[in-house]
Amino acid sequence: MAIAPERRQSAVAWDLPTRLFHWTLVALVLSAWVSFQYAEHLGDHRLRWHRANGVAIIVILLWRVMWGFAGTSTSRFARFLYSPVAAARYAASLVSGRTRRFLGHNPLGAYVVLALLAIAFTQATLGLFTVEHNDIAAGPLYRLVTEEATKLASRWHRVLFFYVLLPAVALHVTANVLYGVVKREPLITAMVTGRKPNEPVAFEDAQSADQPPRPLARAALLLTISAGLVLGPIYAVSGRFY
Amino acid sequence: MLVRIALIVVVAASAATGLASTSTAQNIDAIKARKEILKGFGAAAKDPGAMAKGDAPFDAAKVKAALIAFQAGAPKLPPLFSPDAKTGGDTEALPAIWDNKTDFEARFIKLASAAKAAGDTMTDEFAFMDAWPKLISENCSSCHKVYRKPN
Repeated sequence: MAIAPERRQSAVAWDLPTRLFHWTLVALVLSAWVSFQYAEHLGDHRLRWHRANGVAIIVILLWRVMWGFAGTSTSRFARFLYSPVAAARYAASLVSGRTRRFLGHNPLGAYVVLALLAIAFTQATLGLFTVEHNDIAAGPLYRLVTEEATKLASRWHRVLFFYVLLPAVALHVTANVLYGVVKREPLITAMVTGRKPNEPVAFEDAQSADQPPRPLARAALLLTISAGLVLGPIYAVSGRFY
Repeated sequence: MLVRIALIVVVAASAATGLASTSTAQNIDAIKARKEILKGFGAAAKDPGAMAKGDAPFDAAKVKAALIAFQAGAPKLPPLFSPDAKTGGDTEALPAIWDNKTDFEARFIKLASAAKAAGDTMTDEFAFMDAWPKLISENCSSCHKVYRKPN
């Protein structure tokens, strides 16, 4: 069977589970924001949707950690944990205008991705201990800590979102748009199609991604495990899932 | 001569300071008064809040007391957000209040009438568990999101 020209000219960069994770996380973060900000307009006075969103974010982030060990090569942490020196060299190459291309995350982008995952995880975890300031809704684990601690968690839940997570997301989106516009590297398209063009400069890290056998079944199994690991203890402690 | 000049400078400076302070003087009493009322709302809502979270058993008397506090306090609030009570006194009021005065004041009227109506419906735990979050979310949380500095 003949291989379509566009297939020859591009390489698999991101597997389907990684792409689904990425866009699901985007949707969940947006939804968590909107469902809190407009809760009264949506009639969700107890913030059920917002709380469910938060727990779902923890589940998929745990899944992403597992996929970082069991997924496709470009998604594995071992493949994109570069040294700070490598990141600095890459940053210098960006400034000098030299084109260095990576099939997976580049050394600098890898740090941003790890930071985004860590911030999102911290944000969602803080939400478990948060109480809405008018006492009409609370995260499922708020009873485990003191009232002072819930106030602190609530405060940081807000501060982290507006002053850390949103700016980090803005940086991530801006960088990806600039790669497309200035460097002609369609990174956003790659996160949709899963493929990056082979030309004009060869990738430095790998020429194609190595997928594990049955990636979808493996991803589904890991998602089931991560859901169990997150929802089980929350239900055991609080009697509810979110 | 030098002493006379110094005196003139001091008097002029004092007058200027006095004028300046007059033009920026804030009605701290109004700020204190509204904070007291709003703190009273918070105190009255504390027990029903615990009930709504399942941390305390339903107590109709405490719910009624909170609703009465809202009805009594809400009409007193609009005049306490006068144009000369924007800053000072550790106020958490945002400038948006004075940019949207009509909307802001309408919220207090709405709160008072919603609290009055709720008094007729929140007579048992089942009704309370539905109606209390709705009352607080639509009247308190929605207002705080727009008009109060975040904590």
